[in-house]
Amino acid sequence: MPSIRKNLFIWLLLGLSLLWAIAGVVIYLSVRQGEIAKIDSELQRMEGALRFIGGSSFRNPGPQRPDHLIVRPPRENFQTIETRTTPENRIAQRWPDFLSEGGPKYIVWASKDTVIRQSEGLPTKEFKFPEISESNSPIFFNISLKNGDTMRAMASKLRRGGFGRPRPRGNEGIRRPINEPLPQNQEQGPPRNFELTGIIALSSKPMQQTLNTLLFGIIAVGIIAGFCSFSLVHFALKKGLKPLYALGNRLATVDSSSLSDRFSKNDLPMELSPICDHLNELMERLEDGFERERRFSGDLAHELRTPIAELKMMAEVALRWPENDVKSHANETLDIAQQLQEIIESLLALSRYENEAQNLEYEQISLREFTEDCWSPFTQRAEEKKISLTMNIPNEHVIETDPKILRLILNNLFSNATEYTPSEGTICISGNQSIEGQILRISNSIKDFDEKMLSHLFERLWRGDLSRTDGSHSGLGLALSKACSKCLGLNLDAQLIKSDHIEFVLSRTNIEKIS
Amino acid sequence: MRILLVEDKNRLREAIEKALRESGYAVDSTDNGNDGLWMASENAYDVILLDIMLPGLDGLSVLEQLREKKRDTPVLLLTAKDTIADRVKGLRKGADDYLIKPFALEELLARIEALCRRSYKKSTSTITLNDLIIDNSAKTVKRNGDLIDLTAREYAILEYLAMRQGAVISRSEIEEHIYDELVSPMSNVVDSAICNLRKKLAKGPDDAELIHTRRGQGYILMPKN
Repeated sequence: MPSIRKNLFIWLLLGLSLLWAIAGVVIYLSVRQGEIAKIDSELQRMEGALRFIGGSSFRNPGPQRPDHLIVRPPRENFQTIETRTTPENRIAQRWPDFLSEGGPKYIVWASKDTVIRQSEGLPTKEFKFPEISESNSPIFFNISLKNGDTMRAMASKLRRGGFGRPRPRGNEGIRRPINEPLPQNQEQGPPRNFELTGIIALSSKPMQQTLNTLLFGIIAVGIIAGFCSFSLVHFALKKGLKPLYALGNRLATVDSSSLSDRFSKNDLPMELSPICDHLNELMERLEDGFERERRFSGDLAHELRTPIAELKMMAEVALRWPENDVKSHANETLDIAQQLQEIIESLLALSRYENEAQNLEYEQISLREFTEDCWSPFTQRAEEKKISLTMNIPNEHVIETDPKILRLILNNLFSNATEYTPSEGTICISGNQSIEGQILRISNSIKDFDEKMLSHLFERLWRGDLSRTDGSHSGLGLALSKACSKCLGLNLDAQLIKSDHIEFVLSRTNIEKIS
Repeated sequence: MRILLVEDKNRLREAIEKALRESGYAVDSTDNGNDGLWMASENAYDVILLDIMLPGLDGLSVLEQLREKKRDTPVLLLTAKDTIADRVKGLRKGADDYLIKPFALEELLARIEALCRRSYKKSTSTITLNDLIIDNSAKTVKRNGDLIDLTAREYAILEYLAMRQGAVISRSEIEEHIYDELVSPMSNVVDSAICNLRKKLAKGPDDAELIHTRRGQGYILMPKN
């Protein structure tokens, strides 16, 4: 699995690159659209010129009417034929860039097949007659010329009202003598409301140059932004992941001697705080586990080394300063050997049952009869201590279990009960069928026992007497009982009742109960 | 030399006690920490052998309280706890030595001797005074190369005087260090033992007197000027 840093690095860099690219495209398209709109606006502005040109093709060079036909006296600014401005001049005055070299190209059709005006050298094949919709609104389009140039063009319908005759001016009309023929030199104009079609086009080259410059700028800025993004992401990740690396390094220094240390949340970012909490909980559990193992090792060392030390010292003293009392010496040696044997056998049994490597032989047993049988070896000891026993197990309570292992469990529990119940105390053994899953409850009075001791009760080699002076117990009994219970699919738990009674509850998880 | 042994395992305690007595030490013993602390506080011991896991008061607490009372008697910890952490903890609490069970008797005796020497600021196991040589390890005394046969008690007194040679030692001090609580010395036991020692040390007519009496004060072991 790739590292977080690598993942973040790739995704952030890709994300930023994508953003830069989108921004570049948006800028480019916006500018391009603006440029096109600008050309379109220019084309619309020049539409008047086109209309003028289209109209002028039907106009006589004039004046075609004799002055005597004009009733009103000529105005001061009236232009005579000599002084009248040519259409080109009027276009040049109004649209100064129209007739320039780089000016627009135009073409005007009277009908689809009749071109009435066009720019010089205009290839008519590339300027095809446009199909304009009924709405008569101008249409814009691009034209690619054969020489590779592109042009932005506008096609529109050019309407002219009253071609052929000059518009009457002033308050007085033009009086024409009745039956006077039209002047001979006056050309027959097109009918009124005649519709022309024209295309006017401007070169896209300046726009293309602007867009190319912009594209180059965007690419250059994109490359610089890419490098900046790389550095920024690298720096941000380094800084952002620093606490994580620090936590990792701190974690790497943890060993068995520093399990009591805890991770501080002071310098950690908020996101790592829950991890820190979990790590501290883990440390606590590890510390408990190590402490338990350390205690077990220490206790085991004590349980095994002390009898060996006794044997060795006794043997050395006997060899160096022999005594006559050999029998007593032999008995003591035998006691020590017995004690060692019990410890070793208990440890081996514990190991076997903890690994659940047992071939279980299930039988149906009457719980009451079985419990009474298990209790019988402890009767004498209980009587000596004047312990009162209450046994409340129904006769019909039958269970299916491995009696050999159950006997081991009960022997340990009864041995503990008789050993630790104070004189004139009580032991109560009950098997209540009405409570789901419960097999047996064994409670006895106890002295000098607290909740803290209860938490260690089932630990291997744990003993209430920390000095472990009494060699008749090793502290493996309850741990062995717990392991045996687990092996049988039972739970063995202990609880303190009113601080002077302890109760062991043997309950089933999968044992068959047959009533 | 007088030793206090605090060990809760009866068989081990009895075996060590016997070995120490046979080796010429006066030994007091107990099986719990509370008694051990009281005895160590009340009596002058040359070495204390202390188990760690004890009923009542554990060995480390005994040691700690002893040091708090400014009792600097050398303490040898006897324990089954063998981890470095346990050893370090014991030594830091003020123990002078640490012996892990099971141990060899020879090693125990050697360590006790070493602690005794250290408490009397001696670096070797032999003490030489003119022509007198006392070997602490072999428990032998030689003068002019001749072995002098001494009883365990006589040797203990001579050894104690030799350890503190040049210093005047009162009769009660000798009693305190040579006799354990089981022995109830008569008032003239020390004088009698000193008298016997003088006789045994003076093998020839030319041998100089080594043990001198300071009236009303005690005895001193030193060559005659």
